[in-house]
Amino acid sequence: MKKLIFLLVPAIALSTFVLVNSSSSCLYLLNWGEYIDPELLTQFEDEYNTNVVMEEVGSSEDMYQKIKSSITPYDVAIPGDYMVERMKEEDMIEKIDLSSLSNYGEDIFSDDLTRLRKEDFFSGNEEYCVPYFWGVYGLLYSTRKDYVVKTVEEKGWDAILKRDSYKENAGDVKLAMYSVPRFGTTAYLLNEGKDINTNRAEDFDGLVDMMRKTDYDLWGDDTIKKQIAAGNIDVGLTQLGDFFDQYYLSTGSDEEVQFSYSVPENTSAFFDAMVIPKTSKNHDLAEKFINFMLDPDNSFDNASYVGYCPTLKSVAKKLSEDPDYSDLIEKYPFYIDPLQGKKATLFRYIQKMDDGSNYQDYLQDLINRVKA
Amino acid sequence: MKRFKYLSIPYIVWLVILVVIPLIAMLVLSFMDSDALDFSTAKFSLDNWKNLFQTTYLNAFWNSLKIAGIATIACILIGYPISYFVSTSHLKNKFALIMVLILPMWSNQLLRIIAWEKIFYPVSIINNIGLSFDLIGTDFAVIFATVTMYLPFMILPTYTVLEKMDKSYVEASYDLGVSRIRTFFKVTLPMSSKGIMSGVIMVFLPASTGFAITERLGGGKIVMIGNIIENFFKRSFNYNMGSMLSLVVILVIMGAIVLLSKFDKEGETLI
Amino acid sequence: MKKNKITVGSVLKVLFLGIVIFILYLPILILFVLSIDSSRTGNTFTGVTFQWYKEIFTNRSLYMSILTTFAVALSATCISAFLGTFAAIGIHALSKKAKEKVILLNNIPVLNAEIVTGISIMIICSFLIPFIPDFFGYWTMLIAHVFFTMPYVILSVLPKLSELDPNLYDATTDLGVRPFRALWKIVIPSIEPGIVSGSLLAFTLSIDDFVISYFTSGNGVQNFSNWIYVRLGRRNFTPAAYAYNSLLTLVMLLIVLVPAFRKNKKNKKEKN
Repeated sequence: MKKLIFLLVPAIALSTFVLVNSSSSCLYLLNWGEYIDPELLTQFEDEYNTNVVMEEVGSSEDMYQKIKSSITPYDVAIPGDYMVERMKEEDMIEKIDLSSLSNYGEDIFSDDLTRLRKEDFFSGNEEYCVPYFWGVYGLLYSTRKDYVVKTVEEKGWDAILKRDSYKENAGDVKLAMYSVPRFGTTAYLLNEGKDINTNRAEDFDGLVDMMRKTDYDLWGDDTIKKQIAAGNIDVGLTQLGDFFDQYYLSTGSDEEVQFSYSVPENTSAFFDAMVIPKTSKNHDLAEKFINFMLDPDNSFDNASYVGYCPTLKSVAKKLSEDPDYSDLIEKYPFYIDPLQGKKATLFRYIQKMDDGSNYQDYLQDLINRVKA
Repeated sequence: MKRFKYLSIPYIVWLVILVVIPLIAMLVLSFMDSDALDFSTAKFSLDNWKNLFQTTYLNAFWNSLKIAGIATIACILIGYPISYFVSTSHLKNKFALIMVLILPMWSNQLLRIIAWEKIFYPVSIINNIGLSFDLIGTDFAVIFATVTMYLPFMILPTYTVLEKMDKSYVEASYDLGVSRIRTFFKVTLPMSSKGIMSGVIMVFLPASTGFAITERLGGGKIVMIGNIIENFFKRSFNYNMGSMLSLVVILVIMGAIVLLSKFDKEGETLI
Repeated sequence: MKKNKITVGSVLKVLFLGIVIFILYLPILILFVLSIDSSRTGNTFTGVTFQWYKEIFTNRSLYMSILTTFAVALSATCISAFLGTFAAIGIHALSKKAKEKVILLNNIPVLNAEIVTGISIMIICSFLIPFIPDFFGYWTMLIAHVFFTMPYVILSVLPKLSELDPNLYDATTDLGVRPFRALWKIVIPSIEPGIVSGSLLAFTLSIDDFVISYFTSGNGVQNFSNWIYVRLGRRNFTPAAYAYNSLLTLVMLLIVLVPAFRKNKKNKKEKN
């Protein structure tokens, strides 16, 4: 027992240290991993004389669960579009007083995004969420093999849905699919020309057979871009931002960038937006943070760090004029203009299938059957 | 010492709050059709239990049983001999040797999984020494990694039991002229069976209900019951199905333990 | 004194042991190589560097998560060991039927999938929020860790209690020693091996936990495993994590091996 008392001393010392460092008055931010320039946080802390405590999660669902459990009084969260809709429906988020945001204006966001939000998203969404980054879904592919490049550019979604698009190389090519059921099944729906927000079971007929036949080599989310960069996987379904994220990582490690991105003709768009959960105890500070992130200079720094598509028009313009980025943008114009004139729809929150079953469960079940 | 039974009361209260209440909640949830924990819209339903025998779940149960089962057996076949050899050796630093075998457990499991990824993916850092394996997504990779992760959990209890075992029974057996092999099977093994049981529980349980190893080394292709439960609790927030499946897992395991303890004559439910 | 014969059998045994140790340490070796690799992606080896070791001390989120892990593990181990021992003594004193029931309940956290334990604690804790605001983060994680480690302490101590000679305690109290003193001075030292192995197990489980910690963290407090899990595919995962892990393993190995070597030396000296 004496040994235990010996352990108690460091235990208490460390605990005190950790507790003291847990902040008192501060802004609680719930964000994705690696989704904000850390220097901006320090800048905000200095400007507004406060602390920012950021928690990072890997999915919108995690964000929903964390906010719902009310464990931490989050002031600002950055969920994905359909999750914003869900939170609004379940009365989890507060209205944002747009008039108090000095950096806000009617026309500050990219035209495509504004149009999508007006036509394709729940009405009144402008008051509940402020776009942060956005993008589209497409195919990330390794440029090491010529036949891969050719097939991806010619075949669009077929390149990820049908292994025999690769003809004689069908056995050699390594395909990866997103493990989040919603995004995985979307490729199928887009390819079949169906509405990505459908909840009719019959629209999913044929999905299990087609995807099972493809026999994916890997199912994952963040793993896909890593393995494509490494060369273990040839083609994978990912978000546009994953491409630049991995691009920055590879160039930062002095590795050759042997991968590229292709957006098929018909795709889905997404945006992540800042919301103020009802758990917030600091509504004013939360709005100040949102305003801070809308400042064109800050947003520019953020966009150049994170690699996802900026939502502000001013930032897009600044990036294209900046000599450091103009080459990148010339090669990959979808950095500032993800849609590139293509057709795209946003994800909506869908709760139930037409037969009454839970939507998420239904999709998960489809994917489980593909894997079985 | 009987007067001290009141010392157990705080703990019993603690257990009731943190174990019994959630169990009851899970039981109730499994018989309902509700929207996460929103009881206002809930209604009684046997649907969850009816879904139990769907192919996907049966497949997942089978995968879990298969992978965790093979891994556990491998752990016994490797771990017990190790414990036996170290215990019966005449090394001065037996304990230090066992500690060396146990040490990898203190390395973070996620990091160790990343290390195995590097070994099993064809293109990775091990190419620098000319090696390359393409084993991601195979049962072998998942089982192999599971064994290496949980082997120390088998070595520790078996070594402990072998060490404190009364060696005089073994000596007596030799004195009576019984061969070493027969002695092992008739004396040592039965006397150390409790250690093996502990090891089996400490290996089989996390191996069958975990999800990280299959997710990362199985290439997401292998679906075990842990993955399915995780999806219900973290993706679709279907706590009803999640609770139902978790209860089934607990029942199966407790059933197995009750069965096994019929063989344990000393009657101690030691883990 | 038995002579150490070098037989085929003993060679095979050593070989077997060697192979097992190699395979167990293989991931750790790879992590070490990655920790000195200057490439951040870890796809190929691009050069030796120790910058990641330095980064452990400069990357705030990393070292805070490491400190949190140790703070929680050490505190939870101490608390579990202390409370668990007394709880075990209490349980041991119960009637056979009551004992069996309590042990059954005690085993549930052990048998339950971690994700279920994590979620149950999270839900129960969230009911307490209106009463104790700002309670979350460190305290909930600590409570969760105590919760899932205590059963193991109890299960390690109980067998030792049943091996104890009951007359020992009775004799002590007969001699006039007060009950709690008898407990502290006589009973507890006799069951110490059980307490030690239970504590060791508790520490091991706590230091590596990620599922339960995930559901019970908050207010920016996270443990090392949480830190890794969120960053697994992303850019802010630094090889500093590998560096810390390698350092930890090295320190632990030294703690285990150095006394062993010194003991060996001492024994050799005594023989001569």
